[in-house]
Amino acid sequence: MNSSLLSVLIFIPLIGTLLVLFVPSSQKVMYKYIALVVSLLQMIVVSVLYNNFDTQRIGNNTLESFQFVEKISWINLQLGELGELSIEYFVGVDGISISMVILSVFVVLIGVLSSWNVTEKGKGYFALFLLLNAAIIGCFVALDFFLFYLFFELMLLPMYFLIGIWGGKRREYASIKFFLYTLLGSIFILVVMIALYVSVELPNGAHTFNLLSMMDSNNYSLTSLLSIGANHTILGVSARNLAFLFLFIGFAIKIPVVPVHTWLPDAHVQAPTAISVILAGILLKIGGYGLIRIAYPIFPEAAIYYAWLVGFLGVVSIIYGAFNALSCTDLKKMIAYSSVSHMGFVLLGLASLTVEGVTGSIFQMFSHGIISSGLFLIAGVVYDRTGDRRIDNYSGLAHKMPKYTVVVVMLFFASLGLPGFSGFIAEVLVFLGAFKSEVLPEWMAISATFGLLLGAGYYLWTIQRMFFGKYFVRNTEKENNMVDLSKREFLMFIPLVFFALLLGVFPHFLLDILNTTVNSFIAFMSTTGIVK
Amino acid sequence: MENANQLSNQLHITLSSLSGYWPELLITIGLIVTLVVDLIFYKKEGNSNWWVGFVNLLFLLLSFVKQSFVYTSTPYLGEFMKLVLLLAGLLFVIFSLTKTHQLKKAGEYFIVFNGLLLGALLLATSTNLLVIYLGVELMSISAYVLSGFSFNKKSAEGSLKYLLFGAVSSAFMLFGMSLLYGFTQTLDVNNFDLLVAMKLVGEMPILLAVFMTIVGFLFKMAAAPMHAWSPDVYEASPTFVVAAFSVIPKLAIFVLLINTVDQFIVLPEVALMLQVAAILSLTIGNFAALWQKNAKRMLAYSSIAHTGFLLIALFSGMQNFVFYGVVYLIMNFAVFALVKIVENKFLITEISQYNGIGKQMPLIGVLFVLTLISLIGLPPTAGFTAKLLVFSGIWVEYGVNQNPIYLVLFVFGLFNTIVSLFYYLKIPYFMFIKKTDIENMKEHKSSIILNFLVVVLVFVLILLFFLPNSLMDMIYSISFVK
Amino acid sequence: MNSLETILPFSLLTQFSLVLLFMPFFSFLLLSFLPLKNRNGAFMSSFLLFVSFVIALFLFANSWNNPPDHSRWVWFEIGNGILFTSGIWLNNLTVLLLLLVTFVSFLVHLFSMEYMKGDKGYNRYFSYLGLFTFSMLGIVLSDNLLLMFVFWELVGFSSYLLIGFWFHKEAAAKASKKAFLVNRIGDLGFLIGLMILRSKYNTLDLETLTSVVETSDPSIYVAALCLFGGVVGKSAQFPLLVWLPDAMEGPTPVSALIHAATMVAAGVFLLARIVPFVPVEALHVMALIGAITAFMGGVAALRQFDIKKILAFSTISQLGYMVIGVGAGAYDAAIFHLITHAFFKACLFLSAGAIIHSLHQFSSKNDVNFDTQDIRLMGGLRKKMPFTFLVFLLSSMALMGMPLFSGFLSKEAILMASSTMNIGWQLVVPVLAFSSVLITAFYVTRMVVIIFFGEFRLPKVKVINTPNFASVSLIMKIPLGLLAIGSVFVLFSSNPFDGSHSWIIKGLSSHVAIHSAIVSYGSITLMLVGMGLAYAKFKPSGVYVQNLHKELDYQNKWQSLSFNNWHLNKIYDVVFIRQIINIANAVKTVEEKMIDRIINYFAIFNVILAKFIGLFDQYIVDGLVHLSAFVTSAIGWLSKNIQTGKVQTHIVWAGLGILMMILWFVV
Repeated sequence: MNSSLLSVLIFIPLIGTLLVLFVPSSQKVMYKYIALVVSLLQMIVVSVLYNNFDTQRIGNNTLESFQFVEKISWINLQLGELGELSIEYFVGVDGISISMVILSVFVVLIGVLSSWNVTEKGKGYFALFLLLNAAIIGCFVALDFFLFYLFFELMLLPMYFLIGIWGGKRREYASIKFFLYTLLGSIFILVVMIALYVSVELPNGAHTFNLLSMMDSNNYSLTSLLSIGANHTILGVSARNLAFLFLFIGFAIKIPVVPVHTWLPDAHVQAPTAISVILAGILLKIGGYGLIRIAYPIFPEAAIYYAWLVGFLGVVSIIYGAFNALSCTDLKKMIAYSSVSHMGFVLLGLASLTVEGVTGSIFQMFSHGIISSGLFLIAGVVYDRTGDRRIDNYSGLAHKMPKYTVVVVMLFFASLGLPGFSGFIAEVLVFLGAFKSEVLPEWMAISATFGLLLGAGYYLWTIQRMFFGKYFVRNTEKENNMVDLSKREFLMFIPLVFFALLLGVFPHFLLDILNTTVNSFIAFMSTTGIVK
Repeated sequence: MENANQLSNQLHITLSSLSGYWPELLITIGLIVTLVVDLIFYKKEGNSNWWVGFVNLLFLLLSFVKQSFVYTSTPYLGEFMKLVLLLAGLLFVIFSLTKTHQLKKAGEYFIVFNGLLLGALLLATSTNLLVIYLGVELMSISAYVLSGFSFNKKSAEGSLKYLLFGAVSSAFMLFGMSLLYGFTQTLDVNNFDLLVAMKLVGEMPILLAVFMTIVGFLFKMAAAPMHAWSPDVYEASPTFVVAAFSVIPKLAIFVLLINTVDQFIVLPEVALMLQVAAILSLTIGNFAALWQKNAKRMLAYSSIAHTGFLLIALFSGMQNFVFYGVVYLIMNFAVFALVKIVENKFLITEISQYNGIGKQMPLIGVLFVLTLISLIGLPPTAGFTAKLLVFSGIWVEYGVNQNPIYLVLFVFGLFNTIVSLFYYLKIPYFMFIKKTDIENMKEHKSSIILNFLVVVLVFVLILLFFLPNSLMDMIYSISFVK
Repeated sequence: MNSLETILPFSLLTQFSLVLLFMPFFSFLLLSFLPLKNRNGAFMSSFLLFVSFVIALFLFANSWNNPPDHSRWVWFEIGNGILFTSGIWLNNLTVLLLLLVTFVSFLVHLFSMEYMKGDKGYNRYFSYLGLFTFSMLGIVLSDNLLLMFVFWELVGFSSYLLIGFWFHKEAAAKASKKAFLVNRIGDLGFLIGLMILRSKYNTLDLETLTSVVETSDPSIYVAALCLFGGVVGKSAQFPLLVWLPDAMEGPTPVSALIHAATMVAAGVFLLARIVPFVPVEALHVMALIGAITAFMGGVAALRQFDIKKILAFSTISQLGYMVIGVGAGAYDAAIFHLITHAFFKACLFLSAGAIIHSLHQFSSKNDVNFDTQDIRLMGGLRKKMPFTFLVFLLSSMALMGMPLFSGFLSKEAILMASSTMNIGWQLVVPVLAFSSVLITAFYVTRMVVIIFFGEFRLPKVKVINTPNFASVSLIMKIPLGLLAIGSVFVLFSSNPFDGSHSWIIKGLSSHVAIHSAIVSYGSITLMLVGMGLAYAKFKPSGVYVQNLHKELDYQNKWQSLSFNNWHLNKIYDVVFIRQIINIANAVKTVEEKMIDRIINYFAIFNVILAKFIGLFDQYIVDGLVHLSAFVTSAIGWLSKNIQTGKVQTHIVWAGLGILMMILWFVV
């Protein structure tokens, strides 16, 4: 099936942005409805995509392995001695990207709902929100490096302003930190992107940003820096390995991986709830997705060479993040660190380069997208009521807010990997993959299990302190605000919990669209990665 | 008799090649006409009629149209750059016209600017040391005058500083040039044979001569370490003049450099000197910009950094350089126009006073953000495309030469991109994120034409990202060999 | 690499099993989502459980001593044909446990209908019970280890909910957290075991593993011990036994159901499932752990004053016995003990519940506050609650291992098996097992005597208006009676002195169990000695009991050791929990003081660099300016305008720059 559905998906929010810009400020209420309609339309498009998706399409490096492909020549520059520079508007999805697109559209919808009460500077907020929405979808469907990079950077600025303008007390610090970190990461990616496009030369002499061409070692001009045969070194390190490391650093900042994670807690703590949801639910996934889509298939042998490092950083993130979460007194910060910990599983699974591990890794991204969205909404609920997120300042909330407590218990347990929720499937797959992996030592999987224990520790401790025991709220002035979930809030949680459960019990809804792609990915990695 | 023959021959050649100088001639005519018109309609208060600018504009436009005929054939670089410089001139004049009621002595203002433009145009095509010197001085002297056009103490001081500094560097340059003439026996740079000369007089005197000449160039383009004048001058001068300063002399000198550098670059030290100047300019420009509180002063340092980047671009392939140059022109005019818009409306140039402007003038805020991200070099703006092309070029050069200096240039360029983020981001930071204290602000009318022009410029910046072909194809039709 | 597991047909029995499995789950769903009033929910969930029980009977009738029935289907598939299956494996062990779980759960439902009357979370309680029963049945029915792990964790979760049922009590909230966390430590072992087995054999199916695993493989040894880690957690074995006593914070019927009869037995059940492929060396390690647990639990029970704590430690001790049984090679005996223990311990707990319930009503009637679980305030209840006394006595006999009672039969079988471990260090196992017999007899006698004999001690401490006791209602009596009947030998064996002929043992294992008269007589003797000693000390007329209501919690360090469960809580707190918190704080410090600070320093460094360059650009030049300005104005050689001087120095500066460049390049 070849249609322009993916473009529709990208451009609906852009049209929404324009609409928001042109609706006069007197019609404030319109903005959120525009955003909602955009999200609902996207949902419809995505469901069409899902229904027409061919789950049996094999391969991950040819045009045929992608569906809903649109390939339009965009920029063709004749660059004299460099030859032709070709940039395409090239989008398409395989099993991995469509799962991320589904996740994004879903989480964005939740984000819109949780932005329902944003009235201050609503125009700017929703315009940026919709722009971000478009950039996210673009990132997940782009198959041209330049296009990917464009969307990747396009996410930066809306995010900067969304945190910086609508954020908490230290929003200025947090937003700048976020911006710098991610820009630093994107600079690393940019370097490799340039190096790649200079090195890749198609038979017709064109230099291209086409990711699929970059995955084929035959396309590298023999003398170029990143050609496999040439074995170039830069400062004593193999150029290809260095390029892989650069990409890894770039995406690792986004994931985020310890020790380049410190932007995340600040950004989360300061960001408004909806933005935290988007940040944790989707943006972190772009790091993992970038590794799977770009870094790994383009540099398979380097990926295998550095599997140990990647896996190690995954384990470090799991445990380090969990310890940090354990010591947090701020609920939202704790959840932010738990994200660091959970995203470590993505890295560990990916590093294993086994079907189990990689499937688990993608499953974890999806699952974490759903669950962490819910967790940040949870943090938003108390913050909305009292403006205070300190765990110590509450106790026995279960008395006053039973519905809320039920949701919290469910999502906390979902996050700590209780079977029946999606996180369990993901983590088990990652463990099985990492343990049996030939490129990772066994102790990595074993020590990563410690993260599960710590995870149970900080969640249960929080439940015990905040929700059980005698009812108490430090901020007595706002005690009247301590009411249970409103209908709208409850409505946001229901689909999140539902999908976490659905995928936990019937994982095949997601696995069906992943399996063939992951299988091809592993096959590709193992055949091309060993040739050196 | 022989002499006479020679003379007539030369005259003949001069006359026949005069057709290539139509733009310059038109501008000269425009200069004279403006002068006359201004003299006739001179008012007692010392202010000119604002519409003298239109007379000037007319001639500039004519000149531009005339120059655009070069696209009937394959233009060489100088011809193309003349077009670019004329475009800059047009922008300057149109910008200036939006504020003529504030402008004192409009007649002189435009006349002097014509001088500056004329000098720049001369530089763009000449390879003769004498003409070069003439161009540089014409440009410089006009610039000295223009920088004083705020007519306050600071402005006068800046102008005087500029003059003194310029005079010294001119002296250096002239000394270098005279040495070169002495060593090579010719004024035509194309006929230089430095290697031969070197055998005659040794390496050091030659290097000294070339260095002194290039030092003069570096001064005019405000590259480190010859940059010290520019922040003071930028801060003190009228904003549009600064926009012109940051673009026209710079690009003109760069074209001159391109035209002549092939001759100098036979000495590896010269290339190294330019590369070191590039790195120095980038670093000093960016880091010093971090520290600035005044928007214009900050942009002065930013333009020093961009000079560094242009110098890097010089080594990444001429086409990339030209692309960068054009984009730089648009970005800089846009950003100074925006500074001017804010300045007009609220009478402020301190960045810390920008708080809340984003809410007051959302359009200007958004345009500011877009222009600044173009200056940083982020998509989706032409600034990104330009940087991408430059970095690609450097990368290719590195792949070819395996010379680590290219890697250093590459790394410095990227690293400085991040540094530049800090200070560029300051403006949107104050505009949008800082809390407002609007009450303290006085508001004035803003010019619709100016706003419209900025919208157009920013639109072009974005358009050039999505469709760089339009410009790039044009650039690739340029011949770089005269 | 495809999995070894293939798809097996869906039999009728499987369908029945699924109905059985999901009945309690429906009960959970219905009670969670329907706004039910009064006791309708309780009736409904009890009814659903009864349906399950009937099906379990049916399955038992069809499966016991018949060939196993195994259904298997794909749960999910990853990659190209890597299957994760789920399935139901019905063999003797399964149906036996199904019967037990549904029966006890049904009785507990009945009992709770009265016991929990008036509680705010009445329906919530029954929905949790449903979830728990569902998870437990899932463990029993699962045919592979991964699925079992799923239900294993769910059992942990529902236990968390039930222990923390009265969440407003700080202690309950803490106990539930502790139970889940301690269990999770063991579960990590389980998980690692799964990883080893799956990476080695590509399957987790129990039946398949039984046929493919070679027990000589050292990695199987490791895997078995890892799986045993899960058992240690769930069955409260040493060193993870600390959670069970705290779990008594939950409602008492819950303790009866999950902390005596079913959940804690899940570990033993798992062992029975995996025993075919566990190497002997690993079994011996398990036996040792079991023996230590049996002994430690027994000792800890000696000195408790809380009736539920005594029962909890006794449970730990009995679980230790079961693990000894598996470790000593008699998993059939272990399961036998599991069954008998389930009956008599559930009975004991429910009786304790009845006592607590009555005392609670007594306390509200008399408007006095006292600890209704403290045996020091009881005494003489024999007359006040005769029925309860009777069933309590019967099940206590079974617990001690008195001949004619079920506990005797199963404990004998385990002791027999343990007596075969008599070489070298293994001797520790029978020694501890036998000494625990004495200890058990001692603390049980102590408990029975103090609670039921003598006189009611509460009036000695508090002012009581009316000594009337509410009688135990019928709905509570029925479960008690049924369970008490289960404590008698007849249900299990025709021969009251020989457990090896029990139908359970015969049904579970093919080999003929050994029977040794010496072991029987020895254990009976030990038991009698224990009873005698205890009665001597705790006889109602004795000094000790007369002053019991005044007694402090403990006196000397041995008593303290028992009372505080070997100080394990304190030790773990110091050795692990505080260390983890310390590490967490250290990590936080690293995060804030190092990583973040390095980044901040880097930023600051940049700012400083920027400042420096800025200064360099402005102030050094300016410094020169000022200097030269001073010089110029002093000499009066140039204009008085300071600013003009500035330009000159600028020029000087630029000149210097040029000179430096020239020097650098040229010279």
